[in-house]
Amino acid sequence: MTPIEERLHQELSDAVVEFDEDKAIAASQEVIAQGLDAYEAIDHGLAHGMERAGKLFEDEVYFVPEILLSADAMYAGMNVLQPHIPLGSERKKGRVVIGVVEGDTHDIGKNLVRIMLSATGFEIHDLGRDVAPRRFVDTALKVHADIIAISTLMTTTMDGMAEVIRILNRENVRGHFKVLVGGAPISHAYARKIGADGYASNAIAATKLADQLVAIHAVPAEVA
Amino acid sequence: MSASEPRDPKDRLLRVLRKQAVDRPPVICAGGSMTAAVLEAIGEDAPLPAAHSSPVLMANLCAQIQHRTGFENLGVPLCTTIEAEALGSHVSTGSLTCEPTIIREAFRDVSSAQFPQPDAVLNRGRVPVFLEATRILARDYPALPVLANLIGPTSTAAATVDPVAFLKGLRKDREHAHRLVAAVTRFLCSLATRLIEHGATVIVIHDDTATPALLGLTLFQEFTTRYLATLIEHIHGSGTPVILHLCGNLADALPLLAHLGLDALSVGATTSVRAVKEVAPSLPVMGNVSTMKLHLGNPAWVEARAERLLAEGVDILAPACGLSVCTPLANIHALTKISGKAS
Repeated sequence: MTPIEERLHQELSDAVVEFDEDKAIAASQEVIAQGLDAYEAIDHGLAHGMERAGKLFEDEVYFVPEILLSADAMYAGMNVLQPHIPLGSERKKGRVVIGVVEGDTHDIGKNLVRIMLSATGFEIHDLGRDVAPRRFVDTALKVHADIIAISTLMTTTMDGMAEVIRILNRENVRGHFKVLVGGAPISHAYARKIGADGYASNAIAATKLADQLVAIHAVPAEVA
Repeated sequence: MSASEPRDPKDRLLRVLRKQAVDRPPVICAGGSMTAAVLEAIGEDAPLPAAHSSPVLMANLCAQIQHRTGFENLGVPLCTTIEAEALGSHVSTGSLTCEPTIIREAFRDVSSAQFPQPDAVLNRGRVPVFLEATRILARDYPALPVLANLIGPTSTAAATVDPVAFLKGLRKDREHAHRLVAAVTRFLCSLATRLIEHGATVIVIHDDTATPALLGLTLFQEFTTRYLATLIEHIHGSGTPVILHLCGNLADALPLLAHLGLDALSVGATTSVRAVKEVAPSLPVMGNVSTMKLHLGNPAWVEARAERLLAEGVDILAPACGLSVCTPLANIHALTKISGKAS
C-alpha cells in the first residue's frame, strides 16, 4: 500500500468514527482522483471505521444515535466509491433478508443490524417494518438468501418469528436458510424454542453471528 | 381493620405510592405499552380493533381484562399510539392480536416538526376516546385504581418524527430537538391534566424509545429525564402519583431516576429489584416477572418467581414488560393469586 493510499484509508475510517460526511466524501473523491482501488477504500477505510464505531458501541462509548451518524458518513463515502467498483468484482459474504415482524413498527434495532451487516460485506434485502411472515419466506426464496434476520421489539408480536419458521418447515425449505432472531423481548431460550439458528442481543453480536452462520452454511459463490 | 389493611385495591396501591404500610404488594398490569389484553382474557370475539376507537367498548374491554386476569387495576388505553396520532402520525388500526401501530410518522426530521397548541391537540384522533374511557372506568369501578398510561415526552417525540432521523437529530440538531420535545411535553402535561379530571388514579409514563440503553446516559439526561421531570412535576401539582416504566438495563441510570420525584419505578427483566433498592432505598419498585416466562413458562415457575420478588422487597408485583398476546391465563393467575394471600 502506498503512503497516499494508507493516509486516505485512515481519513475514511476517521470520518466514519467522527460522523464527518464531508470528510468521507472528500477522501472518497481523492481515492477516485488518485486512481486507487475503490473496493479497498471501502473495505480498509469506511468499513474499518464502522467496525471501530461498532467497537465503541460495544464498549458503551457510542450509542444508537452515534452509530446512525457513523453510518451516514459511511454511506456518503460509499455513494462516491461504489460506482467505481467493476460489476461482479464485489465479494459478498452472503445475502440477508431482514425485517421487523408484522404488528411492530419499531425498526431502530433492525436498522442497526442492517448497517453493521452491510458494513461487513453482506448483501442486504431490507423488507422494512411491519412485515408479514409470508413475505420473509417469499423474498428469501426469490433472492436466494443465506440468512433470514427477523426482529421485534414488542412482546405482543414475538409469535410472528415462530410463524416464519413454521412456514419454512411446512414448505420443506427450512434447510435453505439460517434464521437469526433479535429484539428486546427475545432471548437465546426463545430462539431455541422456536427453532431459530441463532439469537443476537445487539447489532455487533448479530454481525459476528451472521459470519459464523454463513461459514457453517458454506455458501456457494453463486446460487442463482 | 388494622392500620395497614387497605379498604380496597385502589387504597392499597395509593398507600404503596405514598410509601405507607400495606398488608401486601398489589398485583397489577399497567396498560398502555403493558396491557393484559391476552387472547384468553379478551376472547376470540373481542371487539378489536373497534375498541381502540370507542370509549364504551374500550372501557368494557378493560374491565373484562381486569375481571378475567385478576390484576388489581384497570389500565387504559390498550395501545401506545394515541399521543403520536394526535400529533399527526399515521396509525394502522391493528387487529384482534395486533395492537395499533404507527405506520408513518408525522415529520421527516426534528426541524420540520410543527404542532398546534396543546389544547387543540386534545380534540384530535382518539384522545377523546381515551378520556371518556377513563371517565367510565373511574365512575363504574370506584374500588379499583384506574391507571392512565402515557408515552414519555422524548419517546412520543420519537414517534412523531422518523425514528432514525429523530435519534440523529438529538446530536446533530439539538436546538430543534429540544423545541420539539418541549412542545410534546406541553401537550402531555395538558393530556395528563384532562386524564386526572376524568378520574385517573395514577399516571403511568412509559419511555419505550428514549431509554438509557438506546441513547446513552448523556443524551438520556439531556432529553429523557429533563422533560420527564417537567411532566412529573406538573402531574404532582394535582396530587396524582406517577409511575415510570423504562425498558432495558437501567443500572447506570438509577442515580438519575432516583431524583426524578417518582412515586414508583417499574423495571423490565434486565434490571433487578435489588439493584434499584440499593441505589434508591425509599423508591417503591414495580416489577418484574419475566414477560417471556409468563408466556412460555408454567404456573409453578411464575409463582416461585413472584415469591422471590416479594422476598426481595418488590413493592408492586407486575409483569416485567407487559404480556405477550399468547400468554396462558393459567400463568397470569399464578401471579394474581398472590392477591388472595395476605403475607
